[in-house]
Amino acid sequence: MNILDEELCKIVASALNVETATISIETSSEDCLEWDSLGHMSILSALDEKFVGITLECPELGGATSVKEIADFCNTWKPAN
Amino acid sequence: MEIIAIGKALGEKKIDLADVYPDIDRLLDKTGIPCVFETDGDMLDLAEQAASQVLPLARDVKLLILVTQSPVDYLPANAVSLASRLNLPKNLLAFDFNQGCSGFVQSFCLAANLIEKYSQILIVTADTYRQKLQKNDRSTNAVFSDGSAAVLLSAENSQVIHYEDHMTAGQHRDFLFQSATDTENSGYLHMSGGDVWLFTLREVVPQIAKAIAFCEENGLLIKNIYIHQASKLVVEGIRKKLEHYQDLFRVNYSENGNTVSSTIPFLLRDFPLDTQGGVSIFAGFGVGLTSSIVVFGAK
Repeated sequence: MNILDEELCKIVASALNVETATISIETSSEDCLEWDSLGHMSILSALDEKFVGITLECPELGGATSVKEIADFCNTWKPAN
Repeated sequence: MEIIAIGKALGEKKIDLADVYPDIDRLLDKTGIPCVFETDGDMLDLAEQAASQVLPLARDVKLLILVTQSPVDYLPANAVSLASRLNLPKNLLAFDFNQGCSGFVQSFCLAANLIEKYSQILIVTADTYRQKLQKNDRSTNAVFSDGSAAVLLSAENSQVIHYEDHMTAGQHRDFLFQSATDTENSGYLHMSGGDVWLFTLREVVPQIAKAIAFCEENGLLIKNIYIHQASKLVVEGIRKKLEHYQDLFRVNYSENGNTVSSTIPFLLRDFPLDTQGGVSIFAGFGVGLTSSIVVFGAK
């Protein structure tokens, strides 16, 4: 699956409830106050809603700490069917 | 087995999180918890307060199970001290049960298996997690409350456990822990919310779905689903996954915060069990990581 960086940044920003402009592919959890443990849960919930099955098949997403890392997992994930 | 009464105690200090975090609306979107409760006392103070509420209804308590991860003493067992504070008779078996958010469901299962022998059993869940939190860790400080519940059980035969399913996954210990030494996370509680949430989606949701399927296959009418009230994200996330049953979920996380093993007894107090022939599902999950599910109701 290929996810555009821009689309992923929008998902992350919306999940964290911050301005889209503040999130880039380079953003890490350390750069964003809202990206704490709760924020990460929120990102995963949003990903799960957008890409059904991804959270079941990529447990490594639980420990991802940057948008780039999430993008890499998303781009190697192959949805069933 | 019958639940006779449920006592409740919360930390005496009510902390309005809007006073602590200026971005409260963003936080509430995730937690759904506007206030948390903290005590200056200890776990036994809360446990005593909750248990005292149900003791007037107790006739012959022979077993006390204290579910806690906030021990006041390493020894003796804290249940022994609690029994003394409550003036329970000496012919009592009392022990501590070291489990977190799944602790109530697990101790309830134990109690169901022992109730014939012990006639009345008192389960007390009590934790003071706020003492374990690093002050700058917003994710935990905005969620956990200190609290205790006391559940008095008797051997009345009208309700039974129809189904139980337990999971113990110690390989995920690092996702939610407090070390006995200060070498890890300076001795404070650590929670990796993302990993815990994925465990919930991957393991707990299918476990609850299996319990629902069991009920349907066996003609058991589900009246209530009581799940651990971790936070809005977790509770609503699970509800969304089991959308056909959304209306059966009982919810009160915004009233008390996450009180660890006390959340399900608090739900049972606010939304009493159906006694007209239906069954209820209890689902506790968290620290361990562990997860336990029971179906409880009319024979």
